[in-house]
Amino acid sequence: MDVAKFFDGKPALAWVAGLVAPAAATAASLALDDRLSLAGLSMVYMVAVAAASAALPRAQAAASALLSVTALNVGFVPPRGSLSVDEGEYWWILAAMLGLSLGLGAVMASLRAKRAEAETARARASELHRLGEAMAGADGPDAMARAAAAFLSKATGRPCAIHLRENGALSVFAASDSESFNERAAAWAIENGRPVGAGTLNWPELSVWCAPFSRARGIGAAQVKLADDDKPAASEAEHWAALVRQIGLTLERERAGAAAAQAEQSAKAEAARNTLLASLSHDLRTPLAGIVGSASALRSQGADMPEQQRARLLDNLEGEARDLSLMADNILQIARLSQPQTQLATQWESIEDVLGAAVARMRRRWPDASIRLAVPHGLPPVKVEAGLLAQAIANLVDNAARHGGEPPQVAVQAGRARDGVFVAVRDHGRGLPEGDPAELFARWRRGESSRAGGSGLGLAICQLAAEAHGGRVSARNCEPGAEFRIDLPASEGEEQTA
Amino acid sequence: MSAPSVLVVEDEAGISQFVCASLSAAGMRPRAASTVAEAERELAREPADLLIVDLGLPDEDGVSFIARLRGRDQTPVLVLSARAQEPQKIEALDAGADDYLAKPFGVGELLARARAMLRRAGAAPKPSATLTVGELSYDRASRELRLHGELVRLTPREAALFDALAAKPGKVITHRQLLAQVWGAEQVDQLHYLRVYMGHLRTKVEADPAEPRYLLTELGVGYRLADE
Repeated sequence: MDVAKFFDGKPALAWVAGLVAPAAATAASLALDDRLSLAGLSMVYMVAVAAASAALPRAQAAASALLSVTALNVGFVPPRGSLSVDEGEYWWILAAMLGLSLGLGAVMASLRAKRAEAETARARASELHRLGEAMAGADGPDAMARAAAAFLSKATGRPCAIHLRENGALSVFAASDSESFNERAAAWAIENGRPVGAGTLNWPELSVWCAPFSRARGIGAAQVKLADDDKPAASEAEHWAALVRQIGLTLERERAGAAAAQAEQSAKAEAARNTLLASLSHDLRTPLAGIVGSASALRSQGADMPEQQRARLLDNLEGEARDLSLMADNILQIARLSQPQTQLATQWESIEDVLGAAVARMRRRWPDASIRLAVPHGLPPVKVEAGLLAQAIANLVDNAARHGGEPPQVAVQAGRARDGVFVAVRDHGRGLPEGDPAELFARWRRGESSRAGGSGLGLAICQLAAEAHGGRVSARNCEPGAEFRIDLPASEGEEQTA
Repeated sequence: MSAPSVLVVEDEAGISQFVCASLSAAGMRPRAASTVAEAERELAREPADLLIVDLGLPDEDGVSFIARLRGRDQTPVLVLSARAQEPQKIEALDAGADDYLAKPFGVGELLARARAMLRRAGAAPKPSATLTVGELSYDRASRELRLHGELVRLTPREAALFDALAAKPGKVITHRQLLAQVWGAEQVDQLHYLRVYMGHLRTKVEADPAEPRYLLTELGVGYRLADE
């Protein structure tokens, strides 16, 4: 009942109300005196007493009950006008009324106390919940600690700080930087796993209240700064301790999550490095063997060779060396793109410029291949890293030239796709190997029938490059041959030109 | 005409040897320097007709060497760059280098660049009134461009872009230089303007804009107008 809350903190008003109830009952009884017996009139007083018990704090309700019984005795119990009582029955009525009134007051007061307790508990539980939400909204342990300090300051109405211990060093996070906190108290609480300061058993004379996140794992503590004669009540301190435990659990969960993610990332990087090294030892040896062989053959037997054979060896030498150079570029890009959060140096580029550069490079590498390039007019500029994209496309063309029939025929095409632009490289070879086309892009997988070496890194680069630009790669069979395709999303903020 | 003198400034002995060997086999007179200081001494002793400068020199940044050189004369400079030196390569061109070769390069590419640069440097000091490349002819004074003898209609912007490239045919002009010249110094980052107008220009001039014959792309660097 909200009437009871109305009198909270207004004792004078409650005393007045305690007077008003018996007075009103007396006035009503005077008016009803002709029509009601003494039992009926005592009921009028009972109504007043019940109302006072429901509405008033315990002392005022009790006083109001005593006053009512006295008024009934003096005003209406014969002999009227005095405190004396004629008959034993009247004694019984007065005693029963006094007992009931006081009992009712006590019951009402205890009900009210229980309800207040339940309300506090509910408010505290919801505060814990909101604390969880406030911390979940922050990104990273530092921001979380700062959010927790701000929340705690609001909840306690006092300046608060979170102390975190990492690698032996203590750092402090507070909602505002202007306050200074007792770091030694925090260090002690973390070290000993016990609360310290006012309202606790340890150094109660300190004007702070400080509690560790947990008894055992000394990762941090929370500190509430108190005024000189301020000290939390036992139940309040208990609630603060619950908030601090919650902060500790949330921070610990965040740290554990971050550590797990980091471990997973480094395991992945490690695995990638191992595969790269394994693949390199094979892929580098193949062209190197060709180079060493051709060069030594030319030196020791070149004079005896027919001109045509010498020319073929020289071709091999140059071709293998250029393969090595392409592979070196690929290895650098793999290493770079495998890093988490690689930043691309993107620029506005025209897709035909990028394709032109890639095709020109591959025409030099494969002089016998027919490499056709078709780009429709009016493709929008794309925001890409030109060198990387050209390298990815050069790899596709290189792949197509190796698998593209005899002599190789390769068609490079670009166009508008539903939500961006695409580049497709098609060959006239035997098509994709059996199995899932997506498997082809798995790093460093080698096609079965590769001609004259070639690195399995190429398709992996394409995939990494496309993904780094927010696009994707795909492969499919077409009659004849195979088609590899890079889809790039339309660049955002495509501005109108001057 | 006597054999042209070429100064090769390169600290890697393998590359320096092969470059000097192919230049002398092609009838040029190469000298080798492995540091900027040595190059300055060689230049003081006898000027060169062409400089080939590696960007990764031990004693001084190649870019500042080129900038200092440009303060004195217009000797053509060919820059040699490794893959990891893309930004320096562009800085070198902005600083006044005329062309570049990315390592690894073949002798064919090297000699083609060197000959073209010597030819341009040896041409008449004053640019001729009319520039002719293949089927294109361009009148510098009236800014009239003809393809197969027929007038090509250009918007003022396209004309300004073509004029910027035609001022130094064969030379790489960086994106930055073109944007500054055609759009103004405050627009040097608006690369997409350049892409779009180059696209327009190519559709008017090229038979197949995807495989240009005249307006050539230097990926990530700039453009050049073919000079033969």
